[in-house]
Amino acid sequence: MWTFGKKIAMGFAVSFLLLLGIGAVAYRSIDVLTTTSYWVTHTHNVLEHVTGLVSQLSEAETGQRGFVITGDETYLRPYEAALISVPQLMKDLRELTADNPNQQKRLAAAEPLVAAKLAVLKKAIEIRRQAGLEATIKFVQAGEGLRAMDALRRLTGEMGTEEKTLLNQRTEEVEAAARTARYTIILGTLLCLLFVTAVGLGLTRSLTTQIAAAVQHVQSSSAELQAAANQQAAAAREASTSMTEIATTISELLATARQIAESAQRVASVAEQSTTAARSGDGTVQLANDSIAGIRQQVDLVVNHMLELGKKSQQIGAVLDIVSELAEQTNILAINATIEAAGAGDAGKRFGVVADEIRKLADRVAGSTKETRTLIDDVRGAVNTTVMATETASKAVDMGSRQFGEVATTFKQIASLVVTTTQSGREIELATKQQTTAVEQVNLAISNTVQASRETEASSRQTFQTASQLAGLSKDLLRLVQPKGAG
Amino acid sequence: MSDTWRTAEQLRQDFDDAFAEAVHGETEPREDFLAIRLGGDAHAIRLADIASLLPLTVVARLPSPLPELLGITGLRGAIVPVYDLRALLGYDASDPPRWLVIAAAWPVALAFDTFEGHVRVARGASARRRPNEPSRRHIHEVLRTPEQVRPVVSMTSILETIKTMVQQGVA
Repeated sequence: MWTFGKKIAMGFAVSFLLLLGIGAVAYRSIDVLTTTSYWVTHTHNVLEHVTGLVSQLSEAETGQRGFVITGDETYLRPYEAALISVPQLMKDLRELTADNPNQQKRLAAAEPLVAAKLAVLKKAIEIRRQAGLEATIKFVQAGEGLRAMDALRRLTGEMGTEEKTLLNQRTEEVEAAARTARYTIILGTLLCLLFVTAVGLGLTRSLTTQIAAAVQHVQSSSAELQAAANQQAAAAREASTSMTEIATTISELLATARQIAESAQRVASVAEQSTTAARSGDGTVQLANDSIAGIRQQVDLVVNHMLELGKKSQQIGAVLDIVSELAEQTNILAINATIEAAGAGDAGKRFGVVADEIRKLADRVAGSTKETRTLIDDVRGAVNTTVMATETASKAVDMGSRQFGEVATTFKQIASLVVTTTQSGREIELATKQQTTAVEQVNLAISNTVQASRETEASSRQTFQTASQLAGLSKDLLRLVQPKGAG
Repeated sequence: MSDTWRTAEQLRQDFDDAFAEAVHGETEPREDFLAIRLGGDAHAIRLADIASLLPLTVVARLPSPLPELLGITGLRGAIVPVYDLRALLGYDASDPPRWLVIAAAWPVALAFDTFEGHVRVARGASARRRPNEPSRRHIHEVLRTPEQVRPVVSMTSILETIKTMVQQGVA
């Protein structure tokens, strides 16, 4: 479907083409008319020159005749004027009829006649002056001048006839061109009027229909726009309210962020103090580790001494075995001596007493040896218990040392973590400050957004008013394009 | 340590006193016994019945029909037969014995497990076995001490038995 602008452009284009055609035809007709008028004027000019030529020659003959009759030089003025004008007329005629070969031929034939006529006139004048009137009359009566003049009149008559023929022909052409131009202009104008009227009617109907539809669209759109503007205004009010609440929340958030920043700063300060304490604690842990290593060495020394004591106890036990063996053997010897003494009778009594003392001594030695063995066993048991306890203690010390090493490692890790915590605290402090700045910027942006929401609300009201005005204008326009009862 | 020092001092004192005291005669008759163990049971051997007590060192086994005969051993240049006292009294004799006693009446060695010591008691401390006590071979009396009661091995009965076995074996 063509748009309204396209239709208007097409109507104007067709009208322009019609006007252009009419103008072209008119221009062509005027051009033909002008050319034909030029040639008519040209023909009149040629006729005028031809008539002038004959007239000048007649005037010259009249002047010559007066001079001949009177002898007065004054009558020669027309003749003298003709001597000057005739050549100019001949020249003009040649130029004017340059496009006409017939006329050129006649001019070529007329030139000797003109020259002969002027020569006859001149000769008659000279005869009058020299021979008097009678001689001159005789010369004129010879009729040379009359013949030349008749021939010249005949030629100029032919030239005039041809020029009149041409004049009639060109007059008809002018009339034909004028008629053609007239018809073309009248018909073209009528056609153009018809076309413009038809296009105008069509465009009016189409425009009315389209504008009516568009106005209805505009009306409905205006209604929708009003509703949308209302909704937008309501939404803007809600957004403004929400933004105000958000701004309040952001302000609280800002206060919280500042508190967090202060807390982070305190955390960073405490973390730095913790770092210092951790370094100090690291030195203490190192000293404690050295002390544990010293305890470990002392425990190892005690273990070695206890093991050495155990070995010595074993050696004492071996010696006790020897002593016990010796006591047993002594006891056996004492028993055997007792037996021998008993066998010796009275002589062996004293020996029996000694043997008995030796046996008692051996018994005591055996008893002491048993006691000593018991003590040694107790010592060995105590040594073993001590060694075991010491080894347990050594293991405990090892375990403690390892655990303390782990504690030291953990402490170093804690120190490292404290350093990391310090850095993190600083980063948190910096980030919180940046966050505070960002929140302030957000708060500012929210304030701007609140302002923008209010402006949006105002703009929505303005839009609503504009939409209302647009609806009114649409109704007015609809009334303009659709009178009452038409739609 | 003080008890040990005290004991040592007492020993030294007793030892010195033993040299200082005069030799007195027997105020009361006494008997000497060897306290031994056979198969874990405490026994006693009258000291007057033996000629010597010594540890068992080497026993050369001999082919013999008598299971109680362990072999022979050298004793101060003499060769004496060694009989297992445990087997003679009916105890288990699988473990090797460690001690020997030489009979005083006869050159015969008797092997046993454990020598516990010398016991001197007043005469009469040993008594005939009571009728209600169980009867055993070669045990005719018991030694009563404050600590315990030990059956007294009759060397006479043992030697008679060995003699009988030897005669039967020769026959």
